[in-house]
Amino acid sequence: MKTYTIGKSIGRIDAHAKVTGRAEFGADIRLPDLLYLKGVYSQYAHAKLLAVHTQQAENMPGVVCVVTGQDIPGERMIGELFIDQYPLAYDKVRYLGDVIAVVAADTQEQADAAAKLVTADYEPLPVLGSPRVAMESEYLINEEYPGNICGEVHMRKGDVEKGFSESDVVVKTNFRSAYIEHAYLEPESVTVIPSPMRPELTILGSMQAPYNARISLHRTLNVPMSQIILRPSTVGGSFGGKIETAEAMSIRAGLIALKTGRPAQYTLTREESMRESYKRHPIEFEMEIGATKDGTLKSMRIYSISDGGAYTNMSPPVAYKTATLGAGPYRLDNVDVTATAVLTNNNHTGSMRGFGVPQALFALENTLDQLAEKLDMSPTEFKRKNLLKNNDTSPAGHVLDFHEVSVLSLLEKAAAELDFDRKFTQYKQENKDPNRRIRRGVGIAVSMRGVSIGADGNGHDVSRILIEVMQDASVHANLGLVELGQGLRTCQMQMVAEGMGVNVDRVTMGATDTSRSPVTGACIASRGTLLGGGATLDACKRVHAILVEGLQKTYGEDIGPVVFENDRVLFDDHDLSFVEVVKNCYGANLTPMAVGTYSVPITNWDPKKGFGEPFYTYSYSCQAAEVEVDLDVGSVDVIKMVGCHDMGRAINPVLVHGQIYGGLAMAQGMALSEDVGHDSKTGALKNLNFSGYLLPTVLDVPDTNVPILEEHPDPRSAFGGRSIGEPSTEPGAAAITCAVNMALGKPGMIHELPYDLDRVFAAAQELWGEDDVEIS
Amino acid sequence: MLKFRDYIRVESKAEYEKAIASIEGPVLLLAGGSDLLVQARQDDRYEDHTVVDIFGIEELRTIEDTEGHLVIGACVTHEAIAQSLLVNRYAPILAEAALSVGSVQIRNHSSIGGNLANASPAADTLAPLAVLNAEVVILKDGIESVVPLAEIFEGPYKTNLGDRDLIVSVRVPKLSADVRHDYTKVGRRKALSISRMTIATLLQTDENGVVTRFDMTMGATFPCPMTFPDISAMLVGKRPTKEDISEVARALSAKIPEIAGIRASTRYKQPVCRRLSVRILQELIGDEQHA
Repeated sequence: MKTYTIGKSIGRIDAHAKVTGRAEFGADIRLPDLLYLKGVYSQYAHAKLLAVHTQQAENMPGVVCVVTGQDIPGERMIGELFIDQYPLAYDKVRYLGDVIAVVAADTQEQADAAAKLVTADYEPLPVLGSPRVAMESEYLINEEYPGNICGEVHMRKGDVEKGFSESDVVVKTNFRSAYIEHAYLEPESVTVIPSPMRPELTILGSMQAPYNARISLHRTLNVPMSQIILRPSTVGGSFGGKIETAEAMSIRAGLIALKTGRPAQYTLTREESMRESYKRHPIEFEMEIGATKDGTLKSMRIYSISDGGAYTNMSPPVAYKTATLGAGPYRLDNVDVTATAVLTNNNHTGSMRGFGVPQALFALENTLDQLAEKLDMSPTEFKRKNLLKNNDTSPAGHVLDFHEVSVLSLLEKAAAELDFDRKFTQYKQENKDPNRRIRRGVGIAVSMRGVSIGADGNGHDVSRILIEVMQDASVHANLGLVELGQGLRTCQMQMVAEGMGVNVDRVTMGATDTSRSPVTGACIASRGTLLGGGATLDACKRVHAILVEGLQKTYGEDIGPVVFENDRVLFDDHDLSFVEVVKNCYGANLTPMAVGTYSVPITNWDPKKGFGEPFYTYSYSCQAAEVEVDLDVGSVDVIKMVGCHDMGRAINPVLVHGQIYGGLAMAQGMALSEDVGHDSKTGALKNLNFSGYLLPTVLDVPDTNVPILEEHPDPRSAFGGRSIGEPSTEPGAAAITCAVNMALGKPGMIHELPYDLDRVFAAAQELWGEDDVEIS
Repeated sequence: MLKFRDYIRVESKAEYEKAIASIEGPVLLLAGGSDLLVQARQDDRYEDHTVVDIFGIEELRTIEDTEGHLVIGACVTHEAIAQSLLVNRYAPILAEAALSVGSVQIRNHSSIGGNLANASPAADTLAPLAVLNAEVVILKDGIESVVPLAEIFEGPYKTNLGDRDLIVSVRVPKLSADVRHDYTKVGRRKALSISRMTIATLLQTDENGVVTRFDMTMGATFPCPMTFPDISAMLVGKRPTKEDISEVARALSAKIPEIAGIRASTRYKQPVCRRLSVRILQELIGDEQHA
């Protein structure tokens, strides 16, 4: 397919404003009469909340009001799918990030000072600080979830017992991942502006899912949806993180704006953000995988338990992805995966780039390396034998006959770039020497990423866009998908230009505004390109039909097919400029404006059996890593990573590269150093800012990382593109861990994240730690 | 929000002395702020303190080359120390340690005097200053005196300096060019990392390979900076063998439980110290190592 705009690395439309400091982020907003807010956190991770005392705070200078859960006029709980979260705690607190009151004052200093004077009466309950404890406890965090289990998803195919009996080698392993903070550079900030004319709220700030927030604001504050307007500011990173927390904050600030008639701004400090915001799920895995001695995978059983924390949040759909994608892109006849999510008194856990899959791949790929070693095969040999190809059936039962299944090709490219096979052989030999204290290792991991929500949301996955062509032939698109820093709006603009058949400089993207853009769901789940593209194509067709109607009025009904391409409009023997055709349309008193709608076709998935087509289509990935491990210190140095991805079509290749570089860095942090310092006795987090929560720095991330794109435009996507945001970080932690375990000389040795220094040193001691390592 | 009673900026030692004489209540010296401003964010602990900003006192921002010493002003930044030709020439181990502090932004706003006054056991410069036998010049009640480095420390984050006592400078005896050194830092990442452990080593041999000077200690390990004459004595006067190196490593790492007590981190730090010590000494002694 010849394209004019997509596939080109045009500059980002927001780049100039961002690099010159002109872009307005949430906390930059200043308004006359602005109130500043401060939340008061619960003192207990689990307690009945008997009373909140606000009088002393209310008497402080500058304080305008203090609100509590008692003040919410509508329903008291929110949730995207499962409504069980208090935006302001009412009768119970369920984790240390629950907010029991919010103080509004003329200055931030006054609000901060007064917030310290809010007290409460609690009746403490036992802290259920881990899924195992919660599952066995007689106490329920939420009465609606017996056994504190908030989600359980299965994927089953064939007969695993039979598969194991036919296997020559079976390995059983245990793995455990940790909480991961999204670590957006900009902490949450929302500003709510009440209308002086009517009960109407305009909400600005840092948020990922404005349409979801609109529903919750409507339900809790009893304001009609038409009078709740969300206009996200420039967002300083999100990665799935600015949904429920930003929503709860909007409700608290909205309550104060309604009560006082003044605009209210609510900005979290980093420590508050870390304390309150939801995280990536820590997941425990029990794996059992069998193969025949020729290396053919026969059977796989996975049992996973994820810590959902205080609120259900996205735990069931995260478990859905762990279950349906956790077996990887392998040919496999017998598989049985159970993903269970459990409520605890920890931070709730929800959407984060990768959504339950990076953890599963970490467990899977390290287990497969163990299996390969037992079979005396290298990881790549084993993968070559078992990776899915065209027309194969996925582990879930999906026949992949509708697009190019490129994962084997990605493996070859990534392996070649890293020189994997040669290094694997060389390092394996070198590492047999017990006196070699600094060792190298290579690891490689693959994934298939379901694009968009998946069959657990069958029938509910819809997007919309409004495209209006103005009298001067500029094309204005109003799209509700939020720019989170990934470059979404630049890519969407390219798709609008391509779909309309116009020059890209005709296209403008309206700032996301729920009062102007039709409801479109959230920018989540690897859905922006597929869903935005689908709606765009539909809107372009509708606008074209209106322009054609205008042409028919002027040139006659029988002008035949009309082609919109490269800013020209071709029909009959006419070749008109787009501008002329638009003038003609307005001249005929027609309106070239249309809403496009796209919904993902319903796929054939049986949730009871856990079998079928869990997603409409998939992105494929392979990431490889080379590391150096110092056995005497336990330090891990990442030498190089390769991210090789088939995202269908790269709408803007440079932006895809950016996603891959960032995704690899994020994977490195997850593997090696990011640790919230969770205390399972109290539910508290020790590392509440970036001096303790260690993200990799620019010196830690190799500048030799390589992104590789392999494009096979997907026939199931309007413009051929699928997704790269999540895939780009998905297999990385698995690949690094495989490499570290290879360096240590034992696949699967490190099985708990994160693992720099102490954990690696302990593993090295166990494997190579004769007390007197002699001194060469 | 940071809370202080008042803020005064002084430009000279004389202004400083005048200022502290007139201030009522506790004084807090600001020498860059890379520790103080972080701590002030935690709570209102400094609410009743008057901040005296000494970072701009020119007299405290110079590095002087005297007969036997480098005299490093208390407000000299870690970045300035890392870049200083004098320090790189006469105390290169200190320049290396200074370069390992935080990030360039932090190094430009953190001073050696502030680092001492904060008395964090994890401060990167403490182990090098200890093996260098550094001294500290203190201005107290209008009188300057010179005290050995270790004497100002009482424990983690605790010195015996009063709130109005000023660290004027750090005096570092100049090393001769044939003193070899090693500074090793164990951290969780390559920048902006609080040290898990540092090891500072100085070693000098004569033309026969006999050790004439040996000083080795750890940082981020003990409550206060420590030096170990008994460890030094294990090599001085010897042409070290493999066994000698092993013995030193064992003895040095045994100081960890001995001094700091057995903690959760001992299981990591003690064996890592031993292995790194072997590696460092092998590297420093090199070909002169005897069988």
